[in-house]
Amino acid sequence: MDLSQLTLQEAAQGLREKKFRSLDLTQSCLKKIKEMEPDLLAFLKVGEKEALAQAEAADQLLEKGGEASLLTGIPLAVKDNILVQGMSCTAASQILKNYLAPYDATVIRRLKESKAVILGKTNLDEFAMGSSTENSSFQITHNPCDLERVPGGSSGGSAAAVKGGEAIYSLGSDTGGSVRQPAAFCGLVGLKPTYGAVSRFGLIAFASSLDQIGPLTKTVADSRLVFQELRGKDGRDATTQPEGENVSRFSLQKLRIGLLKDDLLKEVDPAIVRRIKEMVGELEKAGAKVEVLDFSSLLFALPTYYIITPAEASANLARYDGIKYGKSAAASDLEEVYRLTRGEGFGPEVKRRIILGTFVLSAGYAEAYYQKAWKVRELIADDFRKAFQKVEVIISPTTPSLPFKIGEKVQDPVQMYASDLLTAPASLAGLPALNVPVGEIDHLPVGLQIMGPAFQEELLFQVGEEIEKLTPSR
Amino acid sequence: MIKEKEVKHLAQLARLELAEKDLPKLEKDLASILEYVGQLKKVDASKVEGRGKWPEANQRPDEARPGLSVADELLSLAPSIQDRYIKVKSVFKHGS
Repeated sequence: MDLSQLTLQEAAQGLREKKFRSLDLTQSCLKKIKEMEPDLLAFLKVGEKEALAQAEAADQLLEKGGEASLLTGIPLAVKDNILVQGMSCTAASQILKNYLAPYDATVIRRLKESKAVILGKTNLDEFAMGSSTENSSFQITHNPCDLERVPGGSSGGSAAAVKGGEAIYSLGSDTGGSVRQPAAFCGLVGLKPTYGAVSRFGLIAFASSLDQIGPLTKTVADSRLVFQELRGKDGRDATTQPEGENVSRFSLQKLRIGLLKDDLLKEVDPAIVRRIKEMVGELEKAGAKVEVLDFSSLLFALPTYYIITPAEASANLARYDGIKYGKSAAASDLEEVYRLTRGEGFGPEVKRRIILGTFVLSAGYAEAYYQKAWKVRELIADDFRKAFQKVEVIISPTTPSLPFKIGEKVQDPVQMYASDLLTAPASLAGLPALNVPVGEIDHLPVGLQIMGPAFQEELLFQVGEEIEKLTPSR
Repeated sequence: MIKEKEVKHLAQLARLELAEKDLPKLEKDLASILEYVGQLKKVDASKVEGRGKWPEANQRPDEARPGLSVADELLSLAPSIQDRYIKVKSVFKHGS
């Protein structure tokens, strides 16, 4: 049996039943990493020694029974913008090339308390800015479903690692689709939790009013297991909320599903739209009611997103100044230290967004761009609130296109930005959204997105499990 | 829409050195991005009054609590230190 192919649930069960040890599971993933990495380039750093030591510690805990959780002894991969103490954390940027994390992110602390096994750190678009992982300053990650294609982004390394069998599950971060879109491109389940559900402490900030950490897994049940471990109030992130009941009264017969109007989907590959409608049709047959939502503010979600996020990024990235940590350029005065460090340390997409963010925040333009974008963000959030009075969930495609070829869009930022068309809305409104794979078109994975009201992740999981049942198995 | 002079000014505000050779592409990209996001001008948002209904960050009582004890680790990340201080270039130029 190839243990690296197990789901998290299967692996946890196997550990409890002592069919194998965490050490076997971890070695099987490490072997897969050696085998697959030359093709995939999903990892920026593999901590083999640390992982094996963690596996042994987990085995001791499992042997004793008691405090073990379902994540105990399960090997995972972590996006390289989440701090793991003592390991490098680069955000795939030259400016943090030699940075060693001085502490654990809250999510990592929680996983370590459960004696999870951290295999290593995965590739991403620099500072999580991108939709293909081609903006990494270190390497280009390949999609395990088709090596000529991108794995999506920005959590492309985390998606490729799980799809390639290199990790049982992984953590990514999602600002405008960075977990959901790579999950869709690699045929995985990806959750963007409600803003405030999961602590951002120790996540390298991109756009603080949207960033969330979320799991990439093989199944919906696995996504729930990881989410339950990650969520909850954290004194180190003031935006986190206490765990609610988060119990839904789910009944497929009474479920009301919202669909987006066709004019919102005209930029989407018609084959993807057909597949999503087929799936919704199946749910309808099972008794669900479907309503098409009049949701015109969503047409403006993407431009809103591409004003607010560069603005926040330009402020957040001001901390990389060559003084406190990271790269520091040789220079003759203080201002030159700043300019040269940042000029040498940041890649083209990061520079583009810093300039753009500086522009939309500058005197004379802030009202027309930044303030206006916040108002439109309000309209979008309000339209979601109204929609969720009529329906329990909204279903849409996750991505406007199938996984595209490496190099296909990287020269044209506006075309690349369009990847976030259907994922940016839930991010702007702070709502939870889940990607569930719904088979393949032309041998490439297709993703379906379920959006729900704030803190209703459990409802998304339950609907996701229904959709999973309708889909040919992984 | 956005000229090279303006890009250079923004780069100066952001303390970001840009290579001359990268300016034409950056200028072109910014123009197309700004044209794209400029769609927002069409939206009537006159009824929205500031930021509504967003949950405020949770406040906590103003009392001391232990922080992370990683001062040495943080110092060891600094490019240049002297004793236990982070060393920076002088802010004011000599003679000014």
